[in-house]
Amino acid sequence: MKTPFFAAMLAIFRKDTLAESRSRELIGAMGLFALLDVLIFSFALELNREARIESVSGVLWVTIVFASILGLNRSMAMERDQGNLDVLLLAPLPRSAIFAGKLLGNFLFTALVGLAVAFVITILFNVPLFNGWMLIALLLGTAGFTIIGTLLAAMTAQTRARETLLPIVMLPVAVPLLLAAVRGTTYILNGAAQDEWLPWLSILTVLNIIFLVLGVVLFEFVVEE
Amino acid sequence: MSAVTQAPLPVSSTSSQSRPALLVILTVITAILTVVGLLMLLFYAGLDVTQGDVQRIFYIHVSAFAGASVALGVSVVAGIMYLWKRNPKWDRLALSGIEVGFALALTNLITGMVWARPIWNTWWTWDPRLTSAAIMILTYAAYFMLRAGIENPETRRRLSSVYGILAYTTVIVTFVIIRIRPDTIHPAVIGPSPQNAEGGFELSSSMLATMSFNMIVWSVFIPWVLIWWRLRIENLSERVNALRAVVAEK
Amino acid sequence: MPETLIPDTTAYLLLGLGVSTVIMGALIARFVLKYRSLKQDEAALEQIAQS
Repeated sequence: MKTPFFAAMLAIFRKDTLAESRSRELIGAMGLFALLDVLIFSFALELNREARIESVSGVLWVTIVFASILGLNRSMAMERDQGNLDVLLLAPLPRSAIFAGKLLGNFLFTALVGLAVAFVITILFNVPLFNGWMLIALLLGTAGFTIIGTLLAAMTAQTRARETLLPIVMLPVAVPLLLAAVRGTTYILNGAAQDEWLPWLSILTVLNIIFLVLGVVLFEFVVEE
Repeated sequence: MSAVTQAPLPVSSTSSQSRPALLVILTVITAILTVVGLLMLLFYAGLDVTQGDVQRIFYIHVSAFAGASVALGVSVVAGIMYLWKRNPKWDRLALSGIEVGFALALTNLITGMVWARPIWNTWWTWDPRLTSAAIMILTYAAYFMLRAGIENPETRRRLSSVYGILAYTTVIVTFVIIRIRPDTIHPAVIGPSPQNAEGGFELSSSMLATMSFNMIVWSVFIPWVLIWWRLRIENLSERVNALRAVVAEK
Repeated sequence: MPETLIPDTTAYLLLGLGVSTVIMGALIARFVLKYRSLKQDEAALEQIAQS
């Protein structure tokens, strides 16, 4: 008898959030890394008032992508090191539920870090990142990165190079998402008209759906045996 | 008694030694057609008065991209077939398609850069399609790295198939990007160019004939022949590996 | 139209064709080299397997 999809998904999600609430390992590492990243960008780019508006969404998204890669690698390594993944695969539950459960956890942690980065940028650069559409763009982009990231991290965990390989295989595939996310947020920040940036959010949504379908279908083949 | 006679090898020796007549004929035809296509673009197609001779590189540039998307498309189909049937031959086809597609995509990118030098006045510009094409090539470079990083042959075939399918999204993005990024300066050769495209041109009838001819040569004949040859090498490689296992057992 | 108005970009055309030939030629050369070395391996391994 197989555990139903949603029950299995929520159980895995609950396991990840519980472990995280005790250790705070993922959010701690991702958050600290993200903060350093923003600071390094501000030194390296010498962001002045005019330059900020133009480059702030780039800084935001690059930070989120790099932080998510860090978190995805760690999250997969924890599953693998404690033999958790093997047990999950032996358990009578749909493979897609494992994907959905891991995805939900990864998304929550990355989104929290993303929100924190947006908050820090708002304060440090005096650019108002908090408004409704901006948050929707933030969540859509983060969802996209975690979808392909969860799929690819499960793949690279089985290779010799492991952690090194994830950014190499993930960044090129994530570029369409990055492009739409950066464009959309730049227009929103510039106070452009809605029909300038809404198409980018639609593209982001479409890409999310495509990657989600691909992820659910392909994950079954990634974690076989 | 040798092990070879006791147990038949996984890949029969005859399949890798005889050259199919069709392949040889096809290779000769392709070579001839490629040369004819080159002669057409050099001497038959009309001269573009605003760009001069360099416009002729477009016949190769566009056709090479078409060829790359066909070869990489073959690898997507082969990847799906592998995940479905689990026959290693499909993965060998996928690898062959990607290697050929990679070379064609590289040809497309570099010819584009050479054309851009006199027309856009720069070897490289961060035009959306140019960037996207470069990222597409990097994605397939990552495919080769991924393959090299997995030791278990079954895992390697399975994960490569998955990544090969996923990587094709970058080909699709490169194809559609000039329609969704209005700030591109990349001219569309077929269909209306974006408003701010620089270096677009109207096709006269001799140009259209040359373009169609090269398009067919580069997107049908060249990928087909090259993938077939590459596949035979991969089959041979598989046979050598099997022989190695037999020898190691002794 | 006077001929002088047409820009002289023939050198770039030849460069482009040359680069294309080099890339596709490199691919084919790779095929040939790989095929040869595999054939050698095959012959050597077959000899060992038979002996």
